Amino acid sequence: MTAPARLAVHVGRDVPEGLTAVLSALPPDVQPVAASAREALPEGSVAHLYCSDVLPRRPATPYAVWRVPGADADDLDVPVIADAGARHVRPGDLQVSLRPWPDQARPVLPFTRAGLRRLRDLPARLVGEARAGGVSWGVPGETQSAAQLDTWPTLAALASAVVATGEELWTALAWAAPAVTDAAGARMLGLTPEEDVLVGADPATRSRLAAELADDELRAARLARSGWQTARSHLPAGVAAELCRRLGIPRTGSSASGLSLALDALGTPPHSLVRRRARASTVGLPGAVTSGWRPDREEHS
Amino acid sequence: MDIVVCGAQKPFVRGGAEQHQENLVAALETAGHRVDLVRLPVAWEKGRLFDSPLAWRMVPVDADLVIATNFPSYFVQHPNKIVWLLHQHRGAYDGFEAGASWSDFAWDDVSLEEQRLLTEWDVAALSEARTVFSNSGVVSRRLARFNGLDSTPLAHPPPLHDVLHPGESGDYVLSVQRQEENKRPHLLVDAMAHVPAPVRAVMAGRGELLDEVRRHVEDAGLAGKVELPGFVPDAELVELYAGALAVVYVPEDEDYGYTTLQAFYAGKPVICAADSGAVLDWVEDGVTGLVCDGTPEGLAAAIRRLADDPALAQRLGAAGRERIADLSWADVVARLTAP
Repeated sequence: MTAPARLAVHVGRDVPEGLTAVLSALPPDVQPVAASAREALPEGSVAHLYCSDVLPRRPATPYAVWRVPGADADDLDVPVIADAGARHVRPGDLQVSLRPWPDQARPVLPFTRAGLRRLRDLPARLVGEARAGGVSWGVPGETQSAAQLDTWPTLAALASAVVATGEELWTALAWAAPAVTDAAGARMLGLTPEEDVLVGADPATRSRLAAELADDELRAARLARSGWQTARSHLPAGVAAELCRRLGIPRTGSSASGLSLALDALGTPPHSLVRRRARASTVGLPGAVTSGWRPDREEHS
Repeated sequence: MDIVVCGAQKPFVRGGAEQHQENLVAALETAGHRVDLVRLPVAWEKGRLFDSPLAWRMVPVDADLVIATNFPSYFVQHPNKIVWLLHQHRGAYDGFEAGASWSDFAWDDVSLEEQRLLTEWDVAALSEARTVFSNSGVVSRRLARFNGLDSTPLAHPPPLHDVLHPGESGDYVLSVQRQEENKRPHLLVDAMAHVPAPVRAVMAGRGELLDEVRRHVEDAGLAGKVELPGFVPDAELVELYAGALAVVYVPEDEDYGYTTLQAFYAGKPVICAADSGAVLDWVEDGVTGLVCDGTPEGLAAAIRRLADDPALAQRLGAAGRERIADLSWADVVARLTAP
């Protein structure tokens, strides 16, 4: 059996918020180990992660730096991992989000959500808005209907476009809704305006942008896909995977027992047909069921 | 470099995709690479849709570069993956939307959930690629619309491009295609009822509708006017192209379509329909061919126009030949293997 690759983690005075979550989310064949400049490197270390408010002077390569916000930090309240180039470090984009991903959320890109609206006999153009006072939905330019806040995930799954900030924006991105928000909302979630979300300075502008988005299928599709992928990439698992990729940590191959991991990585829901088919096709293989399927899931029972 | 080209295989079926993959392998080998073609069977039905993608996910491929070509081969995992997309699962996307008889997706929750999950899987697998090229503008537009992903169209020369040549225009229009539903072979048969003699139609190619189209020709009393020779050997096909007045190619929403390009290599104008998909990347109405409205009458009018004005046919054909002058496999290989 191949020994796991080791990621040497150098922690200074402050432990970054979210570090544990990211290290816990490392792939099973990558093992984090504590490291110190005063001690010999742990055997098998293939890359380094420095957690510090200053950049290391003579880092061992390849390496990444988890910038702990210092006194001169900007208004970001989340840690940022610097780009993990083996030779240099520049401000990075691996923002970590510790927000929980909505359990039931499934990305529904505009092509499919248009089909769902048709199937549910809903208007072809449907915009949902989440504001402090609650939720509203309707056809752009017509009277909007008020709704309970707990209907937001449904709107986020079905609307042609949504207007939201804060937690509602996060939910909308989890459902891959084409979204419009304000500048602070985009910055807080590490989203790139025009690429991941549209940004409007005031409510009227945001409503207008959402109405335009409801008419622009191509733009809505690009925005929805990008916003969803960016939001997911900020989850600890996404950051951990990207960190390994940038550090060039070699991955060991998968086997039949990797089926479950492969399905997980593709975002497959627990009760989907393909999971049942995969389980049926591996049930006769020694070890496949016990090592390939998670016992804590209903699908295993 | 050691390069693995990946493609789907529908057992006992051989068409444009298979030719494309083999030609790509040959072009890569010509450029000095060591190349292998890896194919896994695919099933298109809804219930078995995800089996082959999952199989690709688990296949270990040791190579310097992997070039995946079509659904579901782009699910292969490799740190240096390039996708040159010929098509996605058309039954789940555009075929479903168009209500095509060959799509088993319907307006129900199960179909839409399968489509949703496939979209999610496609985005995940295609996003892993270092670069995504597509076969044509149509395929790129579909990918952008259905999956929100960008890609770069990358055209390539068709089979026989090195032997096709212009020739004296004869008294027939040529159709070269598999006789199948999405190619709409009946359209040309119906159109020929409105085209006066001596113009004939030669419809080369086999396919599941061949017998049905032959019966259609008999029933319509067009036996002397429409010929359906079935399979035509390459050498004969080259001469058929060379001697044609024009080439008729009116598929529904085609992904690429070698016939158009082969016609241009032979210096012949192409008559297509306004909904022929990627054919329209090449056929510009009144410049390299004629675009009709997709009705038998409209197609017949286009054929008559070229039959009545051979100089126009020659001019459009020459413009088509000019249009494909820069296509080369060397360029394709350079772009696919660029670091």
